Amino acid sequence: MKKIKVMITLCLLLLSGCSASNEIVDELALISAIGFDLTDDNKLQGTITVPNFQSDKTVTTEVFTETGTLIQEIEAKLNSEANQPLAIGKLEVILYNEKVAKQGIRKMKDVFVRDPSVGSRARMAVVEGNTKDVLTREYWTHGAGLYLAEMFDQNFINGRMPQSNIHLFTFALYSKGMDPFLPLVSVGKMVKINQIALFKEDKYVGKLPEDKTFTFHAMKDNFQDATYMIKKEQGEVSAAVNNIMSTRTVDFGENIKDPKITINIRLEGILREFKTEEEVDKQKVNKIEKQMEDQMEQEAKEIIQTLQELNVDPLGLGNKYRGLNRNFDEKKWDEMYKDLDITANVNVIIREFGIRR
Amino acid sequence: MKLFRKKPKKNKKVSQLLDQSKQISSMKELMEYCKESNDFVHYEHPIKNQSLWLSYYKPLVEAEILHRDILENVDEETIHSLQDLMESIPIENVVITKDIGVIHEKLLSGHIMIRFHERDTKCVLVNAPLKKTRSISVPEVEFSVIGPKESFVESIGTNLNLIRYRLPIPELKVKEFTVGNLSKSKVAVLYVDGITNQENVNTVIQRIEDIEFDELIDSSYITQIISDNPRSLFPQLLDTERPDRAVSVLAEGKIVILVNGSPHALIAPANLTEFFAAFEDYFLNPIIASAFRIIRFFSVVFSILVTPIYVAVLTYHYELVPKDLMGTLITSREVVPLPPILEAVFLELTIELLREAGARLPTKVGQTIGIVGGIVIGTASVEAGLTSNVLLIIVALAALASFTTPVYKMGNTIRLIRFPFLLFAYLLGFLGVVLSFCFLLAHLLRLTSLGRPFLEPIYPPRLKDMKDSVIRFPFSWNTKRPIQLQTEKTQRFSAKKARKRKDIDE
Repeated sequence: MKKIKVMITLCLLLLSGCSASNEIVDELALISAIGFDLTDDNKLQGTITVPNFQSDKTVTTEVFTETGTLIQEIEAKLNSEANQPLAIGKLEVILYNEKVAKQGIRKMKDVFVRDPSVGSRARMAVVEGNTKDVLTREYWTHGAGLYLAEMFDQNFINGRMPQSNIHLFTFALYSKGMDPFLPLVSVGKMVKINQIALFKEDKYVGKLPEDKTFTFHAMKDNFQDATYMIKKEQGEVSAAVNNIMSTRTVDFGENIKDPKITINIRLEGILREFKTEEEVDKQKVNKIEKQMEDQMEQEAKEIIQTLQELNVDPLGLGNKYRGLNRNFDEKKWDEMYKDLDITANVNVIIREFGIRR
Repeated sequence: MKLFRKKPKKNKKVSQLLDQSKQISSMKELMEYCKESNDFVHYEHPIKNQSLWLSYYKPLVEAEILHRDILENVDEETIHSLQDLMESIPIENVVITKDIGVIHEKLLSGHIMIRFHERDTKCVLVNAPLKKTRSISVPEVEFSVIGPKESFVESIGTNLNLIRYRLPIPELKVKEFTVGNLSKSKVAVLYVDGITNQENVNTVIQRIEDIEFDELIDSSYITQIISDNPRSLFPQLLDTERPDRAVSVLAEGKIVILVNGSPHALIAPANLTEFFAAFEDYFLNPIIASAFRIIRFFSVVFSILVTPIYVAVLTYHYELVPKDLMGTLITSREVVPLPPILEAVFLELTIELLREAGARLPTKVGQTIGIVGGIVIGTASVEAGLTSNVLLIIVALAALASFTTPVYKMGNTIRLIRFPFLLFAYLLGFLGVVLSFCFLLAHLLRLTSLGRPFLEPIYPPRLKDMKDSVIRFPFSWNTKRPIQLQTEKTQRFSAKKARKRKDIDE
C-alpha cells in the first residue's frame, strides 16, 4: 500500500508536465476549406479559408495562400501568417485544381487520411479552374468553406450528385476493380457542382457533362429525389420527372467467363411539370415513360462508351464481378473491360402526375 | 494494577455514572446526587394523617398527570402501605422497587417516585412522562401532489403508530434498542416476520447493537455508522419521511429503522435505482411514472457528464463540435479570458455557493438570494466576459437536473462527483471522462447494502427486478418480491387472480 502511495505521488510530481497539449477551440484558426492549384513554375499552391466568427454573430473569412512542394511546407508557411495556430480538425472541403488532379492526388489525399483529426467525411471535389478563385469569392453570410460544404451536402442529399468524400474516394481507390470519381465544380459567374470527374487510379482523366449526372447516379447507386429532364429532339426540355426511388441491379449474364453485363434500373417517379397544350392522361404518361426510358438508355450508352474509352470503372462493375468470380484477376479485368458488352436497361414507372382541385 | 483494570460487576442495585469509579448505592446518595440539579423536585406532600414524599425531574413529568391522576387519588385515609398506594393510582406499570439502578433510570425517563418517608428505601414509581412533540405534518422533502400527506415526526411512538395502523398484522415485529451512552436514544428495527430475510434482520440488529457512540441525534447518524462502506459518497441506506413508503417497503421484505428524535426512517437494503424513484411514481399510471423515472435517470447522467464534456470538447476535441454550433461556441467564448476548466469551475462553484447560501438562510431571504444569484450573477458574469453564456446555460441546466433526484442525499452526491469528472476532463479530455466513469462504475459495483449488491438489478442483472427499477410495470406484473432481498416468501399475491378481468361478461 505504501509503495503504491509513493508511486502515485511520484507520478503526480514527475509526470505533471506530460499532460496532453491543449487545443482550446476559440484559440485556434479552424481551417474550413483547402484548395490546391499549380503555379506557372509547377509548384503547388495551397489556399486555405479560415472562418472568423465575429461577436455580432457574422462570419468573415480569412484566406491565406502559400506555395511549396509539400503540403507540410505550405502549412508551415501559412502558420507563420496566421494569428492563431492552424487546426485542420474542422476541415469540410478539399478542392483540387484540374491540373493538380491530372498529376495524381494520392499523396495529397493521404495527408488528410493519415491525420486522425480530419473527419473522413470531408468533401472532395475537382475544380474546373482556379481553386483560389473559388475560395476567395464572397458567399452569402457564411465563409467560403462552410458555404461550399453546405452546397455539396444539399446536392448529395437531394441526389443531384453521387456522394463523395475522403472515405468513399479512398475506398474506391484501393478497391480491386473500381476507380474513384469526384464531383467536378465549374466556375463561372456562380460556382456550380454539376459534373463528374473520372479518375484512373488517382489521376483525373475525363469528365461526364452535367446532363449525364442523373443517369450516371442511377447506374451507380440507388437514390432518391433528383429531377430528370426529358428533352425533345431539339434539346428543349419537355417534361420533368422527380425520382421517388431508383434501384439498380447488375446482371452478369449466364456465362461468368464471358460476362454480358446488364445494368437494370428501375425508377419510380412523379411527373412534376410538362410542356404540352393537351391534358395529361394515362396514355400520355405512358408515352412520357417510354420517352424517358429511351433517353436514359441512350445516355447510359454514351456514358458506358466514355468509361470504356477511358478504361475507368467508377461504377465498380469489376468489384461486383470479383464477388461472383473466385479467380478474379485485376489485370485481366482491365484488359477485358474495354471490350465488354455493357448495356443499361431502364424501366420507368410514373406513379402520379399531380392532383387537381 | 490488576485490581483497577477489573471491570466492576454489573450490579442492578447501584446506579452507574459516567465516571466509572463513582456509583450510587443508597437512596440517600441518590437523592443528594439528584438534588444537585435544580430541575429535580423533591418535596413533602401532606395528606390528612401522613405525608408523601414526591421526587421527580420537573421537565420530564406531565404536571397534569401528577395532579389529576395521582394526587387526587391518593388523598385518602385508606393508604397505609406502598401496595395500597400502587393500587389506588389508576396508571399502568406502577412499580414498587428498592433497586437504585432502576429507580435512577426510571426517574430519568419521566417517572415520579413516591415514598412515605424521606429515609425510606422502598418506593413507588409512577409513569407520568411529558411528551411535547410536533403534530404530524405534510411531507416537505418528499412531497407528493397525490397520495397520503402524512410524514414522520420526531417521536418514535407516533412514527410506530403511523406504520402499524397501515400494516395491522401480527407479523410486523418491532425490535427496540437503546443506543448512545449519553442520549440513550431508542432505535426500533421493524420487519415483517415470515417475509423479511432473517439474515438481513440479524445483520441490522448486530450492527445496531455494536454501535459505540455517545449522542445519537438522528437516523442519518445510523446511516453513516452502519453502512457497508461508510467512506463511500453514495448513501447505502435509503431515508424517507413518508410512512406510506416505509410500509410499502416493509411489505416488499425490507427492513425499516426508526430512531427516536428523527423524522426520517431508514430503509435497508437499498439499491441504486430506488434513489431515483419518487414514491409518487406509485400513485401515477405506470407509463407516466416510467417516463418520469427515465427523465430523472437521464437528468442525473446529464448533470454529471455535461460540464465535463463541455470542458473536454473545448479543451481537446474541437473536431466534435458540429459546424453549425461552432459559431455560437466561439463567439460566446471569444471574450472569455479563462480556459474552459477555470470557467466551468468558476460557474459550478457559483451555483454551489448560491445553493449553500440559499439553504442556510431563512426561507424568505433564501428566495431572494436565489433570484439575485441566478439572474444578477449569471448575467453579470457573462457581460463582464468571465464566462460564456453557453456554459452558463449548461451549468444551470446541470444544477437543475441534479435537483430532480427525489432523495436529497443522492442529489448531494451527484453534485459533488461532477468535480473529479471535471478535473479529469481537463487533464485528459474524453479519455479522462471515460476513466472517471470507469472509477465510478467500479465503485458502484463494489458497493453493497447490508451485503446485498447495490447496483442490482443492473449488475448482477436480474431481469425480474427490472420491473420496478428504471421502468415501473403495472402492479399486476409485480407479483414477486425483489430477488435482491432474498425474501422468505417470494410471492406477493397471485398473478393469475390479479390479471383476471373482473368484468361480468367474461
